[in-house]
Amino acid sequence: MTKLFYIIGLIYLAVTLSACGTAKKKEYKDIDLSDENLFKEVKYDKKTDHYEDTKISEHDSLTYETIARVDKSDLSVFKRSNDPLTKVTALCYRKDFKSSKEYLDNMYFKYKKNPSYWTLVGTCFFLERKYKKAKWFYNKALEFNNNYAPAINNLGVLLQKERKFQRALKAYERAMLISKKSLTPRFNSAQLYLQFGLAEKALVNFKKLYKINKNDKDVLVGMANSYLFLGKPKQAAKLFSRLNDAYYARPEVGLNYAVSLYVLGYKKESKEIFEMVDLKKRSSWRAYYKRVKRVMK
Amino acid sequence: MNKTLLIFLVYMVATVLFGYETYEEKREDLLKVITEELDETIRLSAKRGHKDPVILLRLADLSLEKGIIIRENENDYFLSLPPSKRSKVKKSKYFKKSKASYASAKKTCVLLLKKYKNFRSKNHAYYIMAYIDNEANKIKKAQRYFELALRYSRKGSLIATKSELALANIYYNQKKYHKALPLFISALKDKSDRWWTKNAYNMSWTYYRMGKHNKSLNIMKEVLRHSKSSKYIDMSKDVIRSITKVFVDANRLDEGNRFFRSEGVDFSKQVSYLAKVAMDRGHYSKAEKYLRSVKKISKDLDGLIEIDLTLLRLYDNKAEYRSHLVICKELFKIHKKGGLDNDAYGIFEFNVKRVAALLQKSIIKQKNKKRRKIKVVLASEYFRILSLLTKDKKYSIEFLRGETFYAGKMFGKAIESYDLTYINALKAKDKKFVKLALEGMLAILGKRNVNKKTVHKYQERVYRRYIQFDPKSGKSKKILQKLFSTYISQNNLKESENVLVSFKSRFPKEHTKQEKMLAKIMDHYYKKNNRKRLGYWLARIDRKDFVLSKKYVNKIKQLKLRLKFKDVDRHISKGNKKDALSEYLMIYKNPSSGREERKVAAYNISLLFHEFGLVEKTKEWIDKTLLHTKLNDVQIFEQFAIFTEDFFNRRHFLKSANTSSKLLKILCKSNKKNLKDTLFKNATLVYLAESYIKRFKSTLNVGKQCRINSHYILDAKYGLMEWYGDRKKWLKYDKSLVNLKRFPVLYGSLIEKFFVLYKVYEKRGSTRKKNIVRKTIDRIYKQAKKRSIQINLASLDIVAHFKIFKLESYVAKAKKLKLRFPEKRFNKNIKRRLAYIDSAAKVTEEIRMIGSGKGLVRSYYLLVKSYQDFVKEVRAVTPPGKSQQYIKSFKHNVFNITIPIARKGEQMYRDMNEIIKKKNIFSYDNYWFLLDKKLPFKIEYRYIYSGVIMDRAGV
Repeated sequence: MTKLFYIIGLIYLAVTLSACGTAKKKEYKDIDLSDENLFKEVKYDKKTDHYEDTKISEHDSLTYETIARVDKSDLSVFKRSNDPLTKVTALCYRKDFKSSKEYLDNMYFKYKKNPSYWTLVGTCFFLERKYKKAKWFYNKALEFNNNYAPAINNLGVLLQKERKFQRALKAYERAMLISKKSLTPRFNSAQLYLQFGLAEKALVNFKKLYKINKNDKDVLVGMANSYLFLGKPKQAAKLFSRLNDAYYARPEVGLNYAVSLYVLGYKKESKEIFEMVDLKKRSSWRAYYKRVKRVMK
Repeated sequence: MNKTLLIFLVYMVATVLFGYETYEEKREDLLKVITEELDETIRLSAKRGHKDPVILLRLADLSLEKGIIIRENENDYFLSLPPSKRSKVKKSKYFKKSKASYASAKKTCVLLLKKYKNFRSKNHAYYIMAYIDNEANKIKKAQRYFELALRYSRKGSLIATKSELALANIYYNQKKYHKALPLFISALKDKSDRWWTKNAYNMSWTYYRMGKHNKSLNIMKEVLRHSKSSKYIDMSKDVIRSITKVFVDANRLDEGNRFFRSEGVDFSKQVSYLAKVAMDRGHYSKAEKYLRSVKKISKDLDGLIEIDLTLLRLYDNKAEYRSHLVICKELFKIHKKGGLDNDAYGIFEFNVKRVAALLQKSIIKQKNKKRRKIKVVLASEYFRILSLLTKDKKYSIEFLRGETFYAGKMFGKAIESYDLTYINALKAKDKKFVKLALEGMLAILGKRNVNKKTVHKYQERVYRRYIQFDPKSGKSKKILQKLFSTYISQNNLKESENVLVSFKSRFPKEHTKQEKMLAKIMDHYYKKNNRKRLGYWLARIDRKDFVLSKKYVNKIKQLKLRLKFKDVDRHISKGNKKDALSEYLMIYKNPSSGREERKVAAYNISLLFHEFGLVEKTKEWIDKTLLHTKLNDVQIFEQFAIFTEDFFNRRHFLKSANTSSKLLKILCKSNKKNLKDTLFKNATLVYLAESYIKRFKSTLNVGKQCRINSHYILDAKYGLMEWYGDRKKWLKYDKSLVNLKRFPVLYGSLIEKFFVLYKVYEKRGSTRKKNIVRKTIDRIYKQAKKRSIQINLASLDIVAHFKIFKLESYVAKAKKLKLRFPEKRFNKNIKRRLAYIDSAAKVTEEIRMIGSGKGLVRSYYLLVKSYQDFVKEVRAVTPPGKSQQYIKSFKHNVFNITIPIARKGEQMYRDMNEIIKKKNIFSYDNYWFLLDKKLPFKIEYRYIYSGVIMDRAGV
């Protein structure tokens, strides 16, 4: 019996010792250094630096460059992409910041010299409303390529957010100058012009965008409003009419379409459109809404 | 008669000469006699009116005789002058009298020959003239006169014979032997003449020169035979030498030898004499030939020695040392047999020494390698002979031999000689030569172009001998070091160590040298991974057996470290980082590891973790490393600064900031200004962004203490102020702003920040505080303008905004004034309203000057609207209670009066329209200017997003 205890004791001791030994080694076992892909650098390639064509591209002229205007429901298309950058961008736009950060961290060694990676990091912070950090990383992208248009455009967006409109316009213009085919900075500058009544300039840019894609609804809205500003309600109404009810619910669309119809004398139709406008999430439009309502009475 | 006279004269002279004791006395008397006779003959000639050719000839003859005797006297006197004086004086001055006599004789002869062309004895006159010219060395003239004398003389006569002999000699001298020979033959037919031997001797040479050696030899033999007789002039000495010469030249040595033996003359001595003469004349080849020839025939040892010694002199003169050496060797052989007497030995030894020394000297100068080598070999042979000749201190000669080899750059042979010198000098306890030999050997070993085998053979031996000879000298010190280097290069560590120990005991104060040796030993063992020996020396160092420099102590420390980390390096070099990490960890955890080891291990662990991309672990090991670092670990700090940037990039902001802050504290007192600035900037930026205000403030304080660039300190303070603003901590915001307004550099952006505060106070209704802020804004604006500081656009908008208050007040006041009748009130209000509008226009101008786009649009909007309202209101006025005509006229007048104002308003409207478009002014008042007037009201548009983010398609 004592022998048995003795043997059990020895086995226990052996197991404990071996466990101690393995514990020491286990401290680093999660490091798989054989995975060279983890550290293999992916250099910037302008040929692959864009989104793939999808159905969304038919009514969104900017999807080659940005998925900012894509509906949340449609983002899953991009989430499934083979391109890790596209995948993570989609996660950020879906506000899944936790997952996106993990991905970004894993991608770090591969992409740490790639400006599109740093722009993506900045955008994720932007979407998280951490604008200061977004700015840091957009600038980081510019460290690797001083003429990287997306980072410049996005810095313009940040400036616009800070109400530094003049500087924002300069950023958009620089992005356009560097990358002549870029549509997003053109779109942004057109919107900025129109916001401050410079309809002629806005219209020039919108027309260029319209030429590329006639189904882009935001471009149609911009053009229609530009025409209205310039005293051409008929052309404005014609463009407004190509939109759907969901768009008419947006105050900047519905209210101005109503005004166009009103000016043209279509009071009944004007009233119908006016009633479609939804102010639930757009309270800043309330004053304007009241003004339009007052006129139409 | 003349002939009889001449014979008589000669007889007289001879008898007179032989009758006196000294020749000079005889000469004097003879001169007296001749002078007397000359005077008498002159008198006689004069008596006959100088028309007697016989007396004239006698006169010439006597003048010549007189001249001859005077010339002899003059010659004696001239030769009696000291040579120094003789060389300086004018020679002709001493021969004036004889010359005058000769001239007189010649003149008389010329007169005679002119006057008496058919004179029978004119041959005599020609002879006298020939004799005089011959004396005066006018050979051509003399030859001519002798020829004439011979032509007009009777064959066999005395004059003819003398002329023939004189001419023969002239021809002989002119090397015209064919002309000379018949004259000699003719003149010497009569062998009874006392002078026959002399003239025949000349004739024999003529034969010799003509290559008729036998004839020449026969005549010479005859001359020799006659010379033995007292009737003839003794020419035996000359003729013996001539015969010798002829025999040697004709290579008839045996015959010559036989002949001279029969004559009782030593042929070899004669030949030797000939050789000596030839040598003296510089005819070395000839002399050599004579000596070589006689050497063949000479059987007498003394004669041979004599020849050899002469040959030695000859070869020495000719600098033909190879032949010289051969003779020396022959003489040495004779000497060995005891054949040399003292004199001969002395000459022989002197020759050997002299040539050895000469050769040794010339070796140094000789640049041609081949020649130099020959000379060295020759010299060494001489020294060898010399050493055999020398009885004492033979090693001194061997040393000289060594020196010769050394001078000839034959270092292998030289070192052998030195070695031999050393051994023998040591036996003889001759310290001087021991030292010299050692130094010679050292010098050779110090040469670059010495054969490796030689170096290998002698180096160690020589070094050891020298150290033994002079153990504590400076040279020994150097030699010990060299010996050490030799052993090290041979990987002979045992001996190297022995040398180090020996060096240490002999030169205990030479710490640096000892250190160098030690370093080499350590290095060797380190490379060979001989930990046992390394341990031994490290232990000795730890025991302080050696006094080491600080630098080397550090190196030793590093060596210890390297030893520890050697295994790790091996893993890393193989790419086995995981094992390397384990090794580092073991070193770090090992209780025996010192601070330095731990630091290096921790640092390397952090590097490896960083490479693996593990931020948490990297940070952990950075902290562990920093526990062991010192201020001079700059490389580590710089690396960690890079890590902080990496943390930041990977969005581990707080880790980045904490590490930066930690590093900043450590580096606070260092002079790494740029690094400190970067760390400070990183830390403060992140702490603010992450709202770690306590840490931020702490870092800010550290920054101040660490003398961070004031620009970065100010940036941090500005950031804090903004943070307060963002968090609506208005009291602190206010305080911060007040603090920051001290810095003019911030004026350009501070107005914007003060305006935020202004709005806050306005909202709270704190008019007093609001006004203070406004005044501050005004003050900052004015100061900025004054100092030409650039102000940002937002701040300009704010300054313009305040001006617009004023503008609005004028516009409001103007609008308040209602334009109603009675007329007086109407006119008064118009006036006042226009004054307000005018003030508003002035304020608009002021706003334009500010440069704010927004302010400009707004001010134009207010002013243009004010114009429009005024025009509209004025034109709408209808005076009450007035006739239609009055009203019509009033309205017409009012319309006309308001036209300029209306136009001005329109113009300003158009201008602003253009400005907005041209300058892209982003103001919400734009609508009023740009919107189409047909629209029922001011429509609005804002895009749903402030701007669209761009993700891709960058280039």
